[in-house]
Amino acid sequence: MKVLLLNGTRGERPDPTAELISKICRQKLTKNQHTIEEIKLCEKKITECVGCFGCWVKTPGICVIPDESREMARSVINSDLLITLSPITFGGYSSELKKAMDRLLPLISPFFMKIKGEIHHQTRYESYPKLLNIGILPEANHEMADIFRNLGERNAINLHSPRFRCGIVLHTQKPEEIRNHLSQLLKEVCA
Amino acid sequence: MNVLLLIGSPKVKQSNSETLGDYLLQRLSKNGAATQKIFIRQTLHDAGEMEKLLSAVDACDVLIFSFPLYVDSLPAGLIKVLETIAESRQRLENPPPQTLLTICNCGFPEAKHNETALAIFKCFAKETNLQWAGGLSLGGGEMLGGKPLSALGGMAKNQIKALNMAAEAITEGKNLPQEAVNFFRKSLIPKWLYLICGSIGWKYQAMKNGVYRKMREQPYK
Repeated sequence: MKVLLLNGTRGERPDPTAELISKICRQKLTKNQHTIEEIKLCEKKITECVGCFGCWVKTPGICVIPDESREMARSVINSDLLITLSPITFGGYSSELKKAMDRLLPLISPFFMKIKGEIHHQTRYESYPKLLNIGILPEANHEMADIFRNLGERNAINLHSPRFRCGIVLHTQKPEEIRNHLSQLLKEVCA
Repeated sequence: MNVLLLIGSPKVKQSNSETLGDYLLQRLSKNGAATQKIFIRQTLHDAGEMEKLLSAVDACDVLIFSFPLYVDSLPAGLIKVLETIAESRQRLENPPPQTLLTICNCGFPEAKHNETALAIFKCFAKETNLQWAGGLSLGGGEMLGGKPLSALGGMAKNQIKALNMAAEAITEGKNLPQEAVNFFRKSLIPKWLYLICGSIGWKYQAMKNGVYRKMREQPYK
């Protein structure tokens, strides 16, 4: 299985918990014969989506902004599992991760379809990666955790992910707890 | 009363977020408020402009964000602004009482898609000691075409009614009334018509750009 990890940790704030999560994911997945590529978004030149819809009506499937998001989008659609990692920011993603997620618009089609009674966009490709969202919180916060889970579920619908799992990791958790939690999540999402 | 409107859309022209925010701002101005509007896109890569935004946030009584839904949430640039405001407000020892409200519009016909984005703003309000006055949510925002609401005939009558109610409530220091929220989320046109218009619109734009036959291409496979 090809796995892509989008690391949305903010560059100016090194986060030991995020580093631990990234390390555990790489170890567990490699051990199980999966290949994993990690993109540290703060090191990439990816600018904000400008909402021009050029990726739908000018250069279909490719963003009109020629930066590193194009290669990232290629990696996303050619992976079997997409893992996102981000500090939970007011319940949502960090601006660093969101910058990347916004630039995935070329992967879907402008045309509409109905999913569970709601309107969403049609697929552009035959298959899409499964999605595992991992969010980091300084301490337990049910309100933010609920919003984060909900956001991931909505993303999984719009990105046509065949399976979705969400993990919340706290800075206060012991490494062994984090390891067990991630192990279970990866088992479920890779199954 | 000082009111600051922050436009969260990265678009330079035909911004529906600006259309909706402008109408509310004009109503508040008529009620005697001093108003100011800032485009967040101008602050993202300009430290001086960001400083001006932070000073304007500190100086206002009412803060309004009008923004489009991007991938089930706020546009990335707007999250960056929220992160910066939150960091800046941590330095305030006694933040003055300030009110926050939001206007969110999305390209899906159902306003329900905006719920997560509004929950994020409610959370932001709590984290930054702003008083959450509520959020207005609109589906099918593309139909506004970036035109002033008054130029849209009867199409935006419910949104105009809602924004009028919102302006009165804000002027009186109250939260957004539920009635305003309900009026605002009413569809601009019937859902079936929106879907047809959407489909024709995309095809027309692609045709103009000479890529109609390439619309379903899969360049990365």
